[in-house]
Amino acid sequence: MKNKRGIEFSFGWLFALVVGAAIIFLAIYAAVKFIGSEQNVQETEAAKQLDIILTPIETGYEEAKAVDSIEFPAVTRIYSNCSSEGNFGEQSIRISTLFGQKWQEQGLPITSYNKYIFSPDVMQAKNIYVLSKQFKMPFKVANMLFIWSDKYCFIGMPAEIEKEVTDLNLKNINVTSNPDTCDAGSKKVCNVLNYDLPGCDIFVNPNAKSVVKSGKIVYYEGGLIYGAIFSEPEVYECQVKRLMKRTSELALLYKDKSGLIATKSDGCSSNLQGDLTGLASAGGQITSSIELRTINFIAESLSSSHEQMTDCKLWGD
Amino acid sequence: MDKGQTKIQEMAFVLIAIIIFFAMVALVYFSIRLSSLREDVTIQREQDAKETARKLADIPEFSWADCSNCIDMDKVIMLKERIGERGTYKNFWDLDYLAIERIYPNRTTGECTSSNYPDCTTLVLINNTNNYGSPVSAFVALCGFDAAYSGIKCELGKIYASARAIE
Repeated sequence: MKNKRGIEFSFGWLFALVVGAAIIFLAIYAAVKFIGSEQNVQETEAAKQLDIILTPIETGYEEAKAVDSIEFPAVTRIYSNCSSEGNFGEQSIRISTLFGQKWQEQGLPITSYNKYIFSPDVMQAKNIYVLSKQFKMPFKVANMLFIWSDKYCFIGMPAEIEKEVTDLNLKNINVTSNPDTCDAGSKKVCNVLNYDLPGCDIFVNPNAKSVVKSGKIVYYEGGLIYGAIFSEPEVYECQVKRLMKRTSELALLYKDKSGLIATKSDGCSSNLQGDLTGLASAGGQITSSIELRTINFIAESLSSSHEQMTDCKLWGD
Repeated sequence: MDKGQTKIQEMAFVLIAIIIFFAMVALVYFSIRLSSLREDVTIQREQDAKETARKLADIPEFSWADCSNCIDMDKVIMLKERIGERGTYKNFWDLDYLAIERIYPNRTTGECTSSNYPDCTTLVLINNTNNYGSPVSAFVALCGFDAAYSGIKCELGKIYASARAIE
């Protein structure tokens, strides 16, 4: 006798429904995974492209170099990471783009051992601005890349910084002596000797060669002032350590070169070898940017000894 | 075998066929995607090698500071020793092959070592593989201290760089 109130499902139908649902679920899952991995590939490729683009921006013979802007196809987040582990430490960048209203997952990190990027941990913009400067101690050690996207207002900064910003026409940086002329929303970078204002975000002390940012104090030499301003104190300290490790290796390389030249020229330049060893040792052991001043003293002493040489110079001026 | 069992068997075969079909589609897709990905990576690494070759003469470990696009051979021969002995600069540049060749004036052919330098032609700094393809090259000036002149002498040379291959 048939039960007229129930719905009859044959085993075949039930089986088809279960298997069909499983196949549809698997297909959707696979499609979502494919899209995710494709986006990850794109983000990783974009990070590599950025890494490649940054190479020709680095300085050559010139002291400093700036590019108008690097424009991304969409609003992009750039994650910069620094590690001081290993012989030279490493720099890595990751990218994430805005797709519709949603931020994509970060791509894989693109690592380089010979780039030194001073930037905020995370930058979110369609356009970024890059300044490249040589780092010398006293010979050229590396190119430093300063990257920013936010607006900055430099108030009462040292004359050479004002001149450089104006001459290189650095975008999104306003140099002024009057805080009222700063653009709304810009980060105020104040020279504490002239303007110790409560509204300042970053304080620069040119006498102590120090920068206070996010309540932390870091120390600089030369062009590193931009790094101290643009990057987070932790990133800055890490990059300083990496730069010093390279200084140390280069000092040893110049010491070896001095040895080679000395054998060909009756000891020419051999008087520099002691200072070079001292510089290599101090650079390799740095733990904080506060030690930069001591290392700079050794570098200055080395530079003055080097300048007195007329023949067989080890590096250029 | 009754009718129900036959139907289940048929369905199982259809299912297996569907799974094999999807697996084959996925296999074709992945092989095409993987080859295109390999191509993209190769292109990007080549681009990177090109940019590195262009900038190599400006890298502090190579540069002769008194002129642009000049390489300090005295420094580079010492760098070669450091790479060989201490491995400090291993993987520092993302390259499989990096060499410098003296083009003019002609010297005794042979690879430069600290014992025969400067009477040599080529100086190979990185050679991670025998299959490095055709490297990117750029003309440079090779400068160094010359004891005979008691001063600096620059000669014509070329640098070769090849991107790291995909393993």
